[in-house]
Amino acid sequence: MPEVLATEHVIQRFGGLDALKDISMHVDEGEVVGVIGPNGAGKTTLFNCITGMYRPTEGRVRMLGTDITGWRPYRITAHGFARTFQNIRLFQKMTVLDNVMVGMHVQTRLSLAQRVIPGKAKKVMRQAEAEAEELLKLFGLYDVRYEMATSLPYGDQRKVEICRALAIHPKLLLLDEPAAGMNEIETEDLMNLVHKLRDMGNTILLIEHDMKFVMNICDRLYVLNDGALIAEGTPEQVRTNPVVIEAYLGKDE
Amino acid sequence: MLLQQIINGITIGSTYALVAIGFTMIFGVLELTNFSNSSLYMFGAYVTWLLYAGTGMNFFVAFALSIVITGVLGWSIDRFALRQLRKKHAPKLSGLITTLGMSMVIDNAIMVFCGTDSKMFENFLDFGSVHIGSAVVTWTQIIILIVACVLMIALSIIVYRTKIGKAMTAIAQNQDAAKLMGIDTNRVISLTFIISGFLACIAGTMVAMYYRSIDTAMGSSIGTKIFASAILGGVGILPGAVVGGIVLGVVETMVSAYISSGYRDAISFTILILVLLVMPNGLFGKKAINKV
Amino acid sequence: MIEKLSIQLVKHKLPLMIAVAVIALAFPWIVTSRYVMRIAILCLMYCMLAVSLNLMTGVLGQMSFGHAAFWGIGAYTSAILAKNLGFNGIGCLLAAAVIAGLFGLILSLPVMKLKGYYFTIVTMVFCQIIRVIEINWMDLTNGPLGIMAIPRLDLFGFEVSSQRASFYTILVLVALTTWIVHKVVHSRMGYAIQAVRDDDLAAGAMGINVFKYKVSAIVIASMLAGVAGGFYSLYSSYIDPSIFTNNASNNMLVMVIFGGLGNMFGSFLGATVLTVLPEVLRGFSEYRQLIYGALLVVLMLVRPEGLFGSVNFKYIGQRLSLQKEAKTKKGGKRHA
Repeated sequence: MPEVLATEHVIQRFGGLDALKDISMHVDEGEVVGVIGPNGAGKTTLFNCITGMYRPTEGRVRMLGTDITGWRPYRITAHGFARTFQNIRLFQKMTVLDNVMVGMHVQTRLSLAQRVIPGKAKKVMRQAEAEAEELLKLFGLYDVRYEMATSLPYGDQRKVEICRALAIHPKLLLLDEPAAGMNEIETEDLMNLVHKLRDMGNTILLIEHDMKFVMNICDRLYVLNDGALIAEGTPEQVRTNPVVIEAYLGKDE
Repeated sequence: MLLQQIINGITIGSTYALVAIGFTMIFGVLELTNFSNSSLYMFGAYVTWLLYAGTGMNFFVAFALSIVITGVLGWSIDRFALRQLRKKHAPKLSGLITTLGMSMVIDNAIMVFCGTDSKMFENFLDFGSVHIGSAVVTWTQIIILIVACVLMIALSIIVYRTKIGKAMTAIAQNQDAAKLMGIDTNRVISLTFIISGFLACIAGTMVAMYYRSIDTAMGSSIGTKIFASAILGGVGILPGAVVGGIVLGVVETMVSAYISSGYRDAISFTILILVLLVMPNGLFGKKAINKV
Repeated sequence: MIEKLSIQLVKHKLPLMIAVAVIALAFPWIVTSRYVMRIAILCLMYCMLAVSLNLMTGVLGQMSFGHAAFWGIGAYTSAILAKNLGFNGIGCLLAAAVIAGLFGLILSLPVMKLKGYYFTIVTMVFCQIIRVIEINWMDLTNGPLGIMAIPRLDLFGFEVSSQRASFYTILVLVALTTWIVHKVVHSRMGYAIQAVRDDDLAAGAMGINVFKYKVSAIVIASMLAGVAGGFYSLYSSYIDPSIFTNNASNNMLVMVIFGGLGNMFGSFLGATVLTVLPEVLRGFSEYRQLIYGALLVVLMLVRPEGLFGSVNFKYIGQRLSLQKEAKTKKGGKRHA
């Protein structure tokens, strides 16, 4: 399988603090990969490095073979990565549908020549809206498409965010703690959804706290602790890895 | 010559600083651009003038009384308008427009009551002058600078060292959380407005004495400079407001002495913008971390 | 109440729009007073300014205390070109748009670095800078004396000298402005600009070039304000720097906020009410500004988000169509 994302020896320093220490990892097409680790292990920092919110102090990030280190976030998104945020960041004064429509931004880009054709822009936007509605149907959010996004229950807001990210047609979907703050039923619901996404052929990289969630869903796991990668492998391998148990799981059990 | 210019600049700057401290304090606590601040400054000067020239009472008694009255006015702006907005969780913008409206009311009330012509104002701080080399410094100038510094230090102690100051910081960071922690947010905010009223009155009266006259446009003419001083120093930071004010004052005097007096404001404001481009949070502002 | 009114407005959108158009077109034939006509023309010009400022402040979310600067730049551009170089009306207005847009571009560059209040103060300071230049660049602007005897607006060789013709000219300009802003807001660009307003970080993560859209919106807004200024100087035939002050900027912002951020209809209402109100209060002469200020405070207390700030006509329309759909579905089932 071709590689979608690779990081090579990524180091991120904040002042004197090494938030990420020499992280090399990769995600191949069609995979669902999880990044786990205790709080403050640097998981979100890693996401921010990959999506261009931070510029890594050292090391490179590659996407589909292209070196994207130091690119601005919008370029990285336009190139094929889409992300969600740990603390949901929906556009507050917009409806559910319009939130997803913003996600269509990259898809609806027109060339200069196309822009001159009368009615073309309108047609493209209408097609995008139809597609956004299809996506919302898939997520069971079609009926609330005209509601303000922030008025929905927490679990649904999370879904809107994922839906919005999917509208980008990403080559890689990055989910930052999708199950955070959700109750059991919502988590279950979300798990089914991620399964569905994966069956549709999406490549997913996710950060998660909820062990059951990760073990259930991921093909491969990376374990971060204190900014360093301490283990990788299938959920089974990670579960039985003594280093991981000591550093992370050991505390739980 | 150069020294004289610097001294004059520092004096003008200290007058900006005096008003900017009150402005920056309110901004620091409420993130509110308080337009009524410069009106309070004008109001304070007029009330002092009305009291001592109108009733013939002792100037310093009049000054003290005026400080109290302006403080009460500052308090009532918060009590009768801004607090209601907070109760409704209104957008911050509406607070700003409210202070703009208040400022129009205050300005025009004074205009109606006192007329728009400028009034003579006696200088009670005229204790002669000191020679430093070829430059002349009047005691009034020295006193203005000292008052600005003393007030800055006193307020810094209140804000950064006392319990009430901690409460202010807490409110600045999260009003709801502060309330949950048992802080009487309304009381603390009221106090902030009272203090800013005090400061505006002190500043207005001192400046009135320095220029020996007052007029109803004195507030609006200093308005933008106050914002500029506060933002130059890093908005919300008390020593920043003082340094920002003095820097602005000195730059202004230098520009008008050596480059062009007509373009004074244009050049000094352009410098301000350039400084902000290099230091987006002002001279003393801390860099805000954009948390994802 | 406003919410209910808004629903009615959306329901009867077409007849209302036709009614407004008819009234606007017939207005100069009904009203004969020169004074009223002048107020009406200025009112329309302020509508243009308010709508353009709303694009910048309400839709993009960059609060500006310096919109009068662009208005002034446009006014001076067209005055100088008309008087000294004999430009015709269309040429003047276009040049006003271009020069104001250029200054808008310059002003918008700091937005890349400055956020929120810092940018707001920069707009305020920008307005002052422009005014200082207007006062001091004697050769170009004739300083504080202002420019007098500016040739009247002429369109395609016809001099627009009557009030009626001026009225129709500004009416066309307002319609054009509204159309442009409407197009911008309800397009791909509009989604992007509004996303930037709500959360620029998330907007970036959606593939939106935040800087580009901020700059575009500011440039468009400043161009429209420039055209309004261009019209103003050709209409009033006299301008001086005391017109384009920070106070004027504040007034424009108040119009926008009075009507409600992001709502163009609100801006029309705000511009109209706040242009007409001072005239109505003229009887109170010296208390005028005082009353104006007090009303502002009261309005904020009663409706902090402005009259139509919490209303989005597009969303109301969508919900109405949904209700209609549900109703016909129900009706259909009953028949079956």
